[in-house]
Amino acid sequence: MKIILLVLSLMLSLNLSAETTFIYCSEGSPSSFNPQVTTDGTSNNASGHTLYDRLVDFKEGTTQIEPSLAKKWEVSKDGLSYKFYLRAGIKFAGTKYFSPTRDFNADDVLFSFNRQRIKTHPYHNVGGGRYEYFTSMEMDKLIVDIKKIDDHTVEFILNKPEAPFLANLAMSFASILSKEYADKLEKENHKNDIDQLPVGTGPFIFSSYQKDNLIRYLANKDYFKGAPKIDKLVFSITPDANVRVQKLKAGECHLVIEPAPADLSSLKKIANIRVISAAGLNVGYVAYNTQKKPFDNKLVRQALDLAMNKQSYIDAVYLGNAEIAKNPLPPTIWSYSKKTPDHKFNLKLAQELLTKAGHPQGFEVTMWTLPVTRPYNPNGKKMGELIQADLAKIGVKVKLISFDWPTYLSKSRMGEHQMIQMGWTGDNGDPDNFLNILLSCGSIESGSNLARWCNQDFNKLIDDARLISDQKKRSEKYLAAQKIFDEEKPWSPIAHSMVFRAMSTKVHGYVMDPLGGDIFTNVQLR
Amino acid sequence: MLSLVLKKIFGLFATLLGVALMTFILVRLVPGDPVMLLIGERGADPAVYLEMKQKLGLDQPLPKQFISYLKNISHGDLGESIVSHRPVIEEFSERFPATMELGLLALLWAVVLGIPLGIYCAVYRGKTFDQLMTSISLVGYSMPIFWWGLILIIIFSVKLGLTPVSGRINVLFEIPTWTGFYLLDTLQKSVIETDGFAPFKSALSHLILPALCMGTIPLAVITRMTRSALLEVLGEDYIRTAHAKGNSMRRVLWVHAFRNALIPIITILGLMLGSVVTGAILTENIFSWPGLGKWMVASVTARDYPVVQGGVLLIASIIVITNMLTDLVYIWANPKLQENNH
Amino acid sequence: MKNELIKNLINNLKSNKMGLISLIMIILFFIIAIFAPLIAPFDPTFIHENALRLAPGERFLLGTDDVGRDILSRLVYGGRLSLGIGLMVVIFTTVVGTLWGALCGYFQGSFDTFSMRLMDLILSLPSILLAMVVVAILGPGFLNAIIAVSIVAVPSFVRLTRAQVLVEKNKNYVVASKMFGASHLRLIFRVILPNCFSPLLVQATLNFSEGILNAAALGFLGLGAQAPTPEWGTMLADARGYIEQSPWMVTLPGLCILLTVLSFNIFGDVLRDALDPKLRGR
Repeated sequence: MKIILLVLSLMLSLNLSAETTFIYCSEGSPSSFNPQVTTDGTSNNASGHTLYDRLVDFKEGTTQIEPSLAKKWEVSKDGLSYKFYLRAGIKFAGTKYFSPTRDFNADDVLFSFNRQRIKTHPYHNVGGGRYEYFTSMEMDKLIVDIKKIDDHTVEFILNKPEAPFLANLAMSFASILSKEYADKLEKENHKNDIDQLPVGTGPFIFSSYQKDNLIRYLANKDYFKGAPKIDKLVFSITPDANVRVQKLKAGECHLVIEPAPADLSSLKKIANIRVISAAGLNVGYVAYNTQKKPFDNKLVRQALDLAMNKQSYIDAVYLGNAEIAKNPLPPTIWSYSKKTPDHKFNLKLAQELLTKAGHPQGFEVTMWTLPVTRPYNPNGKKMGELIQADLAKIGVKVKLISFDWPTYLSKSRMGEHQMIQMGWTGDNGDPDNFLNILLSCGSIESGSNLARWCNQDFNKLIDDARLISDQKKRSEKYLAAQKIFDEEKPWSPIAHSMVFRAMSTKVHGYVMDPLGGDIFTNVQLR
Repeated sequence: MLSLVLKKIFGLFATLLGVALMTFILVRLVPGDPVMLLIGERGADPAVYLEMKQKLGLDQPLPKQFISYLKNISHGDLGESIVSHRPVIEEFSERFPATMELGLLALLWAVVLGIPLGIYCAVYRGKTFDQLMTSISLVGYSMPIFWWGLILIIIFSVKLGLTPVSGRINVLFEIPTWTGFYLLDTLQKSVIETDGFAPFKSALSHLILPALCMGTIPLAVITRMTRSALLEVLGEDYIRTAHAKGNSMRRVLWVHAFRNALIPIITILGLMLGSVVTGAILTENIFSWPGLGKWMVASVTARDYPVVQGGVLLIASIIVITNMLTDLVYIWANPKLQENNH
Repeated sequence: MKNELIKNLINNLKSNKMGLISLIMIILFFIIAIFAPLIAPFDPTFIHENALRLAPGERFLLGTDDVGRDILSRLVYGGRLSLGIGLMVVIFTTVVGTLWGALCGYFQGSFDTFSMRLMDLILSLPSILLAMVVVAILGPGFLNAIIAVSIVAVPSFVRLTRAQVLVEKNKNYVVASKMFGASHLRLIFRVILPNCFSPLLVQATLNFSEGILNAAALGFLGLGAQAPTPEWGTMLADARGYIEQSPWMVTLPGLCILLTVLSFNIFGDVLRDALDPKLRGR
């Protein structure tokens, strides 16, 4: 009898003290908890979306800007001055390692941007000193000064008008860090902690990180946009897409990112699982390192592109859930060029071009394949094998290599590759975000231009487009730029894929982010 | 006896030195710039490159490098992982309990099942059961463990849904670290107060399948060894004498035979540690078990040389020490050996 | 002496059904591996259109894999690769191991002590771990995997040869030959080693199967044969994602490894029983 009572009371107490814990099965480990140095979605989800806020943010589920840490802003007529009025009463989250004594203010904004902007800033070299987004978007050259007008007003002075500037400030790299925390760490000589033990204003608070295994977050009950409806958030890092699905079916995760395409049909049939999808604002591609032979020759690049049977990749790798890409921009973005001719798969023509380029017997080359599932490429290895088989038919012998994700990213930034698989999901719905970061001359140095391609005409077009605010006029420039791209083929664009999420039917309030992020601020479990 | 022990310990240090030398040389055999190898892409910055070169002592002649390498080891500094920038020794101690827990459980079930099976086979030698067991052992011994793990997952996790998919415990439970052995940590007072026995059960259910997989080969080996050790002893004269004196088969078995057969069995157990590490590398990979095996595979794949170097050193040291301890136990249990010093 | 051993072996095989079966399996394995191009219906690396993960059927007897390649052809060529691995491991370890071990056992002294310490050192690491380290140095790849696996198999062979030589060295017939003025070389190669033949042969058989197993393990971990090489271990790694949907992709390569290794292990047992009655009863 006593045992029954004991068991009953245990069960009851379990229910009463039931904190809701939301478990998200992610696809990889973040390379850092500092959104200023990372560009991949994995790291973004783990830091930018959970721990931090920015001056402005995207309205949930859209690419429209709304006020966030800044409650309003004024842009001068010449487009050179942006004045932000900051909200008062926003707190940085207290953690086991830091208790803030003051609210968020202008000092934090200055710190966050100046860290990236000023090379002599005491925190510039902390964490590596490479701020990929900041540099590739040429923010360091664009921003002349950031002025603190008072505790709640900040002014950005630019040296030329920049149409996407506001949209850029909604991106993760513009997250606002705590200066008070930075000062404390500097005194204690623990500066690296700022990226490993993060402090932010965001909806969740960092609790712990077990490398390659788990990230634990606690809900920020004082979050200025409203406390999350879950108490704890766990990222269960599961690189294998099939294992993610198995865990979802077994109830070990509530939501999984990018389930394996092969599992989608069986998942859709299960009653307590929901699968949602959207056209991804993405592109998956293979870049040719134009700084290395033989890819400095345009004919070689064109030849290889002709030899790829891209439809077979769509079938085998994406299981049909994608369309062949012909532009570096996805069809859902404005200024996508419908005029670009469709991809041609023609082995004979490919062989002719290759001979004309001076390689009638072909050559040997290495291709790096993605080690993790990405929204724009669910299986890099398999795609690699397919490309390998296709290119073998024109005498090009491809060796496939891969590395773990953080290493893959860092090595690619150094340009060590010949051919490399990569992709991109748009960060703010602006074409400049694709074309500038991935294909501009300036991005070679910052490492995000994997083709290491610098075409002066292309570059001028996208530079000019940034200065104009009229969307139609900008479009014309981007259309012309895509024409150059199609001719020069620094990449073979492969696919624009649908993005999928699978979740338990208990999950409510989850909205697909067109920019590919996983945002849990408003989810709840019922 | 004491002199033998001292001799063994001296030999141990010599071997450990040899292991350190081996790992030191191995990493320097890798083609490429050792500085870049040991610090990764941070070496792209010339200032950082020079700093690290001096810090790692790579501007010194090789013998001096080795000395400082040894000095560092004695402090517990085995370098930093290129991928995570954390001390190798820290990553090792995080993962060590995971592998130990799994390995011990695997060995436990191999012993608990293997020894009785071996005895049974020896006693009923030649009968159907014995022949069947020999065949099964052979299969178990020849099986690729990574395939066996996948088959087990197909049957028990996927088709029957009996066991969880991966990891050590359901992520819902946050267990304060005490020993690192989840079966023990989940029995802490604070855990039972919050979640009852659910975490313990979760940890156990996560352990079952990988332990089963990892224990298969040791099971096959232990069964065979027990059987042959017992048979050898049973064939000895003093057994026949005891039998002739009128002792029952049972008494003969337990009092005389088994005790003496125990010695080689214990020796085998010590040597099974190598098998545990081998099993760990493959089993952990399949079951996503966050232990040393998975760590080593990931590091080799990522060319994380400090981890490879440090990990190999630590693992080899553990095996060498265990072998020496097993040797000592063997000698202590077998007085005959104490007379002949080899 | 040799004739007697062979007679012994044949007798054993006659009575031991398992032994006979294993011998047949081994012969079959060799045949399939050698005549692979004639037996395999397709090129193992050829990607067939619209043939993704087909179940075993008419056109593709054992189905196709996730990229569209015929599994039967890949298994057959995989057998050829495994045969290659096994042979190279055995040749390497036998040549190096026998020579080294014989020199150790015969001359003893500091060379012997140093070698034994080195062997102990290598053996202090589990074979797969050491193989992984070698691959870490050389880089992943089929050839490097074979080198790694061979290096790992040498120490036990060296020790075995040394032990045998030590035992035989002091026997009468050797001492007699020495007295008759036989040179060291002659003594080692013409007198002593032929009498160590049996245990070395048994060990060689075991090295063959262990070599295949270790190489498959490396392939499975992604450190051995790389795509599109149809190595059995690598095929297993590719099949992991399709455990539920296409179970034949997982079962078949594993079965091949199991059957091959098992056959060699059983045959090794039979050899041991036949060639050296002293080792019987293990």
